[in-house]
Amino acid sequence: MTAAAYKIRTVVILGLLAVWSGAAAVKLYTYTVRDRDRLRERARAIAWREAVIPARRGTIRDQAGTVLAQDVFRCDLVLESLPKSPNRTAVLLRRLSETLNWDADPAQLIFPVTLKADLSAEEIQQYNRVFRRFPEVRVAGRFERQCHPDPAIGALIGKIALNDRGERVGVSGLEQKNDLTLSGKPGKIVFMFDRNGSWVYETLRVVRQPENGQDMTLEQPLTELTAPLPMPSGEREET
Amino acid sequence: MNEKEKIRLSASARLLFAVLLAAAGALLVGASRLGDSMATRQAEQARARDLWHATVRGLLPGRQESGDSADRELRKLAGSHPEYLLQALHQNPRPETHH
Repeated sequence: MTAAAYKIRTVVILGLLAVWSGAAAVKLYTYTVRDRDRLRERARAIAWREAVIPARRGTIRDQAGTVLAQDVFRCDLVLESLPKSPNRTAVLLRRLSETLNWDADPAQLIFPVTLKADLSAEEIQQYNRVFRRFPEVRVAGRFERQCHPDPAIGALIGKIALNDRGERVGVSGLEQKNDLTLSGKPGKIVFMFDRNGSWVYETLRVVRQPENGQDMTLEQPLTELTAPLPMPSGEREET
Repeated sequence: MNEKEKIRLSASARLLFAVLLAAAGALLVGASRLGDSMATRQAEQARARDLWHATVRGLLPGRQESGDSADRELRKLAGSHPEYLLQALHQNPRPETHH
């Protein structure tokens, strides 16, 4: 190779390198300076989620402190959907079969499917670990309102139901009358998903703590409440 | 080795020593900053975990309210893995608006 050819080749290579580094610098500028905020917003929308944590509804007691209605925390194992990838679906179904002895035809499923109700603390821990990489299977917690078994007390206490926003509100009896006191305020958390859609626990932050509803003590004892008449004249709130 | 060479060598050695000293200093400063940043991150994580515990404990019935064994086990789980219960309870997840 002549000296001139060598020089031309060197210049070409250096030119290419210069063009490449120039393009890289432009891209770097675009991503880190010009479009920084827009890209951060997009990334946040993809990876970060915020969710509501419900507050516990206040307990209703009679004059002597006997519990007439209270919230209890229960968890179920729920299959919310099947993974989009057929391979992941096959792995998930095999894992469900091994762990829960659960076999079903995927085509026949109507979601969400409750795989197991009222999980123990040990089961919550176990299933969170087993299905860690499958966000389609979820330990779903809920507050259940437990009322005194006496039908007369049940009628006096009333019922609660979910409103349009998924919040539990009193729809009859004392539950409705004292809904504002008993309800409390929901909290808020933020967290990040990984590429499988599983939670990255290290990113979990409680932004606002839920404020539980206030407890309520009636002025009548239980024996008086179970009598068909009269209806209670009033109730006082605990502070 | 004559005097002139000795002086030049000594100057080079001093320069090398100075460069090494500067590099070691930079490394130490870098390591210290990394350590500070990790410590801050850990403290932040610990604060976040404390808040998880407080939130979950607040949602479960206390010892006086319920002596039920299932609730007792849940309270234990709230102590060891509050994140599981927060994950179980969350509703209406949607893209974050403000952080």
